[in-house]
Amino acid sequence: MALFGSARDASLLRSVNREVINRYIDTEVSFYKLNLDNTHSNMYGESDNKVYYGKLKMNCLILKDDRSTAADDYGLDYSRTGTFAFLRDDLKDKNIVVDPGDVIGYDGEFYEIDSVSASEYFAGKNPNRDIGFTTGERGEFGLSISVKCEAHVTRRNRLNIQEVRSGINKQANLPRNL
Amino acid sequence: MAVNVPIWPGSSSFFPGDTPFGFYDYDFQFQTEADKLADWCAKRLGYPLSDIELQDGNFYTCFEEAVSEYSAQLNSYNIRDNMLNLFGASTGSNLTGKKVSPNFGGLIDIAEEYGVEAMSGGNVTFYTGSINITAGQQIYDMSDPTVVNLESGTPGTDPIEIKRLFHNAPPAIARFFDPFIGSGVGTQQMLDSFGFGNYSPGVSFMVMPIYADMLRMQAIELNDTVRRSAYSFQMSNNRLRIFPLPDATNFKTIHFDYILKSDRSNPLKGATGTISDYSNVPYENVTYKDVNSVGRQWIRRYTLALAKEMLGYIRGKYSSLPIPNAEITLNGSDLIGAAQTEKEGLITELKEILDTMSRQAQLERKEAESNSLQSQFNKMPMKIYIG
Repeated sequence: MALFGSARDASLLRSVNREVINRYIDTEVSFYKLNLDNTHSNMYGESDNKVYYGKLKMNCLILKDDRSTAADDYGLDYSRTGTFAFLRDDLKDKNIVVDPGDVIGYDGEFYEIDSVSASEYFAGKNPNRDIGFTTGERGEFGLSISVKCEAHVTRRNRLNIQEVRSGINKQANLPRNL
Repeated sequence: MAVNVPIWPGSSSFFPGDTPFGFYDYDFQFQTEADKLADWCAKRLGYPLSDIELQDGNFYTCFEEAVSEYSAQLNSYNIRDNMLNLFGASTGSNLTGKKVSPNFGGLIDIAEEYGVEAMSGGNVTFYTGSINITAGQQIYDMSDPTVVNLESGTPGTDPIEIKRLFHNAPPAIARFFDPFIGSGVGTQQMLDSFGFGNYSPGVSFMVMPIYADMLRMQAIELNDTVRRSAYSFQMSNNRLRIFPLPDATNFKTIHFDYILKSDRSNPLKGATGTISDYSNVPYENVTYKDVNSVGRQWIRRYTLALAKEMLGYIRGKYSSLPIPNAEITLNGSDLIGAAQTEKEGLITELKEILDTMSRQAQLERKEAESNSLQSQFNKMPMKIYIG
């Protein structure tokens, strides 16, 4: 029988985490969930025109890597990766499941999620999978803290989230004397 | 389903039974103050800018402990200041909030030991005993039960200490009229013959100065000492030697007063159910509604220190807490350190205040005040009438 990391301790930890992430740090990102029903894919399961649900505001801790620039025959390009760590309980409250392919908007860039992991546990236990707890042999222990997403910056014109090439074609602003 | 233990929501509502001991739960002032104090403590700890991981019950517990601590300090001071006046008093009556009048009870208790040795009273019983005298025998064994009779105890078994032995010459006054001693009033020897000599020489109705009688009695005693064998004795351990050699006709018994040594060394001389030490002085917790504003402010500050300490222990249970993709350390140790310093400071402050109010300190202050006043008066010009 475990002594530390009980449900009460987990509750305290949850409360502290919520306070730190939502009130003290309060870094918001916009989260776009991939709408699979409306995204048409080809025979290989690929799609050029993905459709996303409307954005959700979420708090998370962000580790944004440096931009690396590449110059080739097509011109300059850059890439960037980042890590977004969400409080799992916040996601749970909003009924969100984060999957690879979802998009996070942050700091003027859109990150497509490459991988998702949720293996950071308090006291080494995930109560949802804790054998003792799930079989009813002992109380709730531990807490699954976070959902961590590894993501990379993607081109916004492929996302159909923002109109990046729109507007009115104006006439050239010619000199008046012409 | 995850357990969500609620933390301080920003308000509370006190009900009797919310404190662990319930000492003050039905005191209206305590009930009123409990919620206000919880609110004040939470705000002093940072609410609502930061969460306070305490519940209303925690604040009430601190409040109750603070009142009890105040009460304990106050009662300790009262016991210390009044102990000598309280020894031997009944434990049945509650002394909380009552003025204890100084008395000599404790002092007399201590003095009784001296009284026993000085044979002027005390708390050890003086028993009487006697020795059977045998003609021609001067030395007697005081532990011999065939010779010695005791009112209490058994000779040779119960250690005794003889306090007084009645083996003296008859008083001079008894022989004031003895015609044979050479110094008496011989013409009235018949009074002594009839056994009336022990009463008063005043029967002679002679107008004589009192010093004449005194001189005559001194002459009788000096005559006894010089010309006769004096009544005396020596006592060493259990051996008693009497003088003069007894003939067992004038007296056959010598009486004495004694104590049982076990009585004297018995430490339990007081009645049961009386105040004997610090632990059974009947002081109870103070009544909160009777605590004045000074005391209540002390209680509030101590409550805050306790709440801070409690919050420190909660936040410091784990040295670091995981947050998504990182770890944080809370301010538990800072809170505990600050709280302990505050608690010590408050206790010291209260003790110092109480010490300045002890009976001794008050008397010393009055003495200094009167000395100072006298000094001022001494500097005033003379011959000024102050009406």
